[in-house]
Amino acid sequence: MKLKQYLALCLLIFLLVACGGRDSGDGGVVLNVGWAGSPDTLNLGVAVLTEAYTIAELVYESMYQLNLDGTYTLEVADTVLLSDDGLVYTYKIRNGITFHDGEPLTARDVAFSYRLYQEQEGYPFLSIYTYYFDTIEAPDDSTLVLTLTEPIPNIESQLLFLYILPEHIWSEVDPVEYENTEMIGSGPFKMKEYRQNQFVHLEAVKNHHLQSPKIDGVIFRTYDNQDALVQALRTGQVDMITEMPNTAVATLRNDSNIEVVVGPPLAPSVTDIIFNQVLPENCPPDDGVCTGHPALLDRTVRLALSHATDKQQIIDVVLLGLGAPGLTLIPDSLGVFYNDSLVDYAYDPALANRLLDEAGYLDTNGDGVREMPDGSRPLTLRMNWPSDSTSAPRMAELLNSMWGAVGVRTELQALDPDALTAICCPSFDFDVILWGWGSDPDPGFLLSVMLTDEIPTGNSETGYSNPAYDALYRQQAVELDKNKRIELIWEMQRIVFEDVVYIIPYYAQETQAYRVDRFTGWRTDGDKVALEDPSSLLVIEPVK
Amino acid sequence: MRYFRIVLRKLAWAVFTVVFVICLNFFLFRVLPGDPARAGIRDPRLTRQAIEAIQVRFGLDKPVINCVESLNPFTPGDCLINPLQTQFFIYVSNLLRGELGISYHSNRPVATILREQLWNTILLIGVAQVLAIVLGMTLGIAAAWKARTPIDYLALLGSLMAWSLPTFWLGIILLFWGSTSLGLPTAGKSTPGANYATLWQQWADLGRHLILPTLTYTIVFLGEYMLIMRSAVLDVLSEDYILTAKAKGLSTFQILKDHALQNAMLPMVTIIALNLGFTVAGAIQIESVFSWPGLGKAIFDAVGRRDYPVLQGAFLLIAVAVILANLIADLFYSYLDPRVQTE
Amino acid sequence: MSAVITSKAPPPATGFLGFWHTFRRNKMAVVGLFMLVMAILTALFAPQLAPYDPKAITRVTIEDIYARPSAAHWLGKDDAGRDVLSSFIYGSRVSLIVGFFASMISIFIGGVIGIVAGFYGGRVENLLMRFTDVMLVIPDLPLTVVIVALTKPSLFNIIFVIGIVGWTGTARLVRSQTLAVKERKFVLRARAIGAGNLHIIRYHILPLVLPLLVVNTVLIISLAILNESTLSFLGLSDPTTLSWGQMLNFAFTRGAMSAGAWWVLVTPGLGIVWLVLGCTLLGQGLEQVLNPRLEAHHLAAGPGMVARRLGD
Repeated sequence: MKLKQYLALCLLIFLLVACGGRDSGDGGVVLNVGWAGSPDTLNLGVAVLTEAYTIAELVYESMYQLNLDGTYTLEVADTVLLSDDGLVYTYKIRNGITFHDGEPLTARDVAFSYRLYQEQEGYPFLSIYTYYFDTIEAPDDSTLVLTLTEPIPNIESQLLFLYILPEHIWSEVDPVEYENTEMIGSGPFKMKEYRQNQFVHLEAVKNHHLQSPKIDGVIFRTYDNQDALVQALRTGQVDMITEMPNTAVATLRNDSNIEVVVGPPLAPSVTDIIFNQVLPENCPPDDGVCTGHPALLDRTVRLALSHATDKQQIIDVVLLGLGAPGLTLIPDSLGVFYNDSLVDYAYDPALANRLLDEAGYLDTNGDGVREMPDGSRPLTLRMNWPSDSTSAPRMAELLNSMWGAVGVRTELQALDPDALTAICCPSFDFDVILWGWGSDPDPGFLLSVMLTDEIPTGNSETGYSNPAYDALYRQQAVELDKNKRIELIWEMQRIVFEDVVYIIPYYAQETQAYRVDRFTGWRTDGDKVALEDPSSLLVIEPVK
Repeated sequence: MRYFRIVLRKLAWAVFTVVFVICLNFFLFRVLPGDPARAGIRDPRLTRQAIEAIQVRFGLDKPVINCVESLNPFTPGDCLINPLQTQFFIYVSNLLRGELGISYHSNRPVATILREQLWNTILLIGVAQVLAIVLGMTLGIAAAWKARTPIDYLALLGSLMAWSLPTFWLGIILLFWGSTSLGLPTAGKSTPGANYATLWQQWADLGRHLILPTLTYTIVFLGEYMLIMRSAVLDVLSEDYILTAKAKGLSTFQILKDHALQNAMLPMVTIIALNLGFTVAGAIQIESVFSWPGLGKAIFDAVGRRDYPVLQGAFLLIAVAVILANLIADLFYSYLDPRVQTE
Repeated sequence: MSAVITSKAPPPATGFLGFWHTFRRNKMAVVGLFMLVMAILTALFAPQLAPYDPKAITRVTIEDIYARPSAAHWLGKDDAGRDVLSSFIYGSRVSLIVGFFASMISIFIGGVIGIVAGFYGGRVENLLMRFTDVMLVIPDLPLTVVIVALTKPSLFNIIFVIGIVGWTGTARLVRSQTLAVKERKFVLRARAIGAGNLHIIRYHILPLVLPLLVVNTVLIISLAILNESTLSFLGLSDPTTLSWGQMLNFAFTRGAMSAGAWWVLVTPGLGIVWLVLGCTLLGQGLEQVLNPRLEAHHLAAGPGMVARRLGD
């Protein structure tokens, strides 16, 4: 290697560094969004990740759209008529809606899509929303008649994710194998280019029947590394990030070009501390192992552990304060369904100690760990969490020391998610698990997790069984009056809160950030935070 | 003729190894608990029918192989079934048709996924390897030539230090330095949505994205090549014929070029082939730090999501590549070095 | 170079003093030894050296998280609001334990296979070396992922995994050394007077292979430490054991760089570099001291030849 060649190489590198710069491109005004994920697939029937739904929200339309304040408005239909028995919905589909390839969207496409979701066995998740569907008819191009098997109060959230697909494309393909990379929909954005795990490039639909975006396009770029994601925003390679480590919030707030947005997430999620409290008679006959610690069957022990848990400390360490102490499995981001009248069990180790003492859980051998009242075994609990969780190990350490302070020992062990599922449910081969749920905008599913009927199915992770709760669940499922339903749901939350079915350490807040020098008009005044939602992407404009 | 027989034997051995790797790869992943219906996803809302549909889709409803219904938990099965209806046979026959199964995560054929990623990795590794070899050899020659001087010690220490760096750690530090002070991109291999006016612009964009991952790679690999080169040159310089060459009045440069380089070729070829696996380990770390859309990132993602078909496919690909590289190096070696031919 | 070199074999042990005399003159070896000893001392006296107990229960405020270095906390605090210096000092224990025990496993497997293959020759050798060759090309990572998924991520399993994937290079090396040794006169003579195979291995082969094993051990320790950090990076190691790799993992997953907390990332990283470099220097130095001929042997140069990083 000669000196000259070295110099040439150095020069090349210098040129690359120098001449690159930010490329303005000719694609018009394009918003660059950074995120750590990527859609798993664009075929929504088999998609699992929220990223896939984020893209679908922009590219497709469905019967309803969810607003940031938790209300719904009709999207492809003008009007809806409900029969007196609450079973037949008649939708009038708007005129003049076209798919991105120019074909018109009619009631027949809607009917086709709903039937597909209902009948396709390879669609494991979306078929759940068609559970109450009886018949789907499209008597003409603009009328859709949906008949249910039972009157239900939450038709909006059932139809929300049932995106309307073009029949002329989907009837020709295998609906499970189809990768759907062209993603022909009728939403305000259309697919321009897709590279899995790299980026999704969407182009604005300029003459959309509802609202056209003010920008010309949006690119979602995937960053495998959270630090690289934050760095990309800081150096202006992207204009907005949909997620970030909470530890970066303080530093980004100091950056005058960056605005950090914090608030309840649009997609509700909850973190839970699961107690195995399945009774021997409820142990699933086929899969059940049921090795839970007998002390956890005692409400006093669970209550004492609740009093021994310093939720604020967990929120501070795990979330850097960006969360609220949790009450039940129904998070605050579910809005009106969230029972905010419950008063949390205060952090009071002295009270926890007294409760355990009075119930007879005493440390008889002086090793610092309490024993069962009959002295049979110490209060040593196995604590597991999924090994892919970044926050659970810290939470486990904290719980270990907090519960240790009241004489309850925990053995910490991270587990592969598969292995965790295997010990969890319906086998109930655990004591305590730190895990969580993502939810629909409707609380129906989260409420069902605590039903007796769900113990053998694997849905129930605690094994909790309460006939009164089960009865209320059945009642709310068919209660058409919204306020009455909310009343029932609040009562259900009160019951599980008093029974201390779970300890809910926190409801985490969404943290997002955008550059103030690029685009303006972000919707940050809503109840929920979702900068990637159409509510923002349709209205933002470049900074002049 | 003799050489031909050696080639044949080595070839047969390579084929055997590939077959072994295929079997191992198949059974290793069948030992694992769980099924794709729940792999990495926790959604117990799945109905029994849905789970069965998924199992049929991924071919997991069939017995693993004759006499074995499943490996985790181990369940003996019927030995008299048609072997063509076992998972193992279907796996092998799919493999022969170039099919590696379907990803649990993205619902796409694994072969397609790997094909997309492979070239990006080859590009990254290729550029970095060439740089590392050239720089490493240069440094090695310099160090050997100035043996036991501060230059030598500095080069030696530098190389060993470069070798001691955790790859991902170096990557993240370079990422911050490069993006902050040089304004280099932190992810991907090109600017998405960019419209390039000229081909040069497109190449420049690619080049800018290449700089940081390549730099990380080069630093990590540099040390080993430098050490080999240094000792090869030292070896040559201590030989008698160097004295003769010197006596003949050949310049230092000439001697190094004619003798030392040639001598260093053999160990270099071996190490490059042997290093291929190590290269992939580096690729996993570097590509995930810089979100480079290559094989390494695919493996990293698959590990996180427990996407076993992708892992299985990627590992088969790597193992076969390593076997091939070793075979080529072996053949090259025996071709270059007549002593090996006589064994 | 005081050792008398008779043949290709390493010098017979001429006593510790002789060895020390040569060793002392090798700068690389001395520096490496110094670095390793420093690390071992740190690990041994961690409770005395560390200003705080990393397992101690303290109430943490948001300000404590990634707090900047200060007089009370020289290297600042981590994402759980704990003293980085103390964690760093205690973390050296796990890293050394992983390095030491994992390399013991590798050396044991590799040593046994190498000696048996080299000594017995014939079919046994063919079988064992073919097996080694196959293992050499199999990527380690699937094995690792499978073992971790099947068992639980724990310190023991991490050591086990790193140990059982890292022995192939050693087996090859030991075999060739055994081959060279077994043809030597005193071995042939011992055999002639009727010494058993085990006796010959124990008293004639092993002493001559041992120096090589020592060198190899030191080099493999460094690789095991690097591998542990890689496993942590992949999220496959045990989050409840406090190792340098785990510190790095927390720094990555909890956005240390985004928070500007470079001290959380740089400290354990430098610790790994220090330990790995120390072991590598010592190994290279020892190699030169124990076997000066090896210095000139082009194949012995790269650490990668005798040991491999994970992922091969």
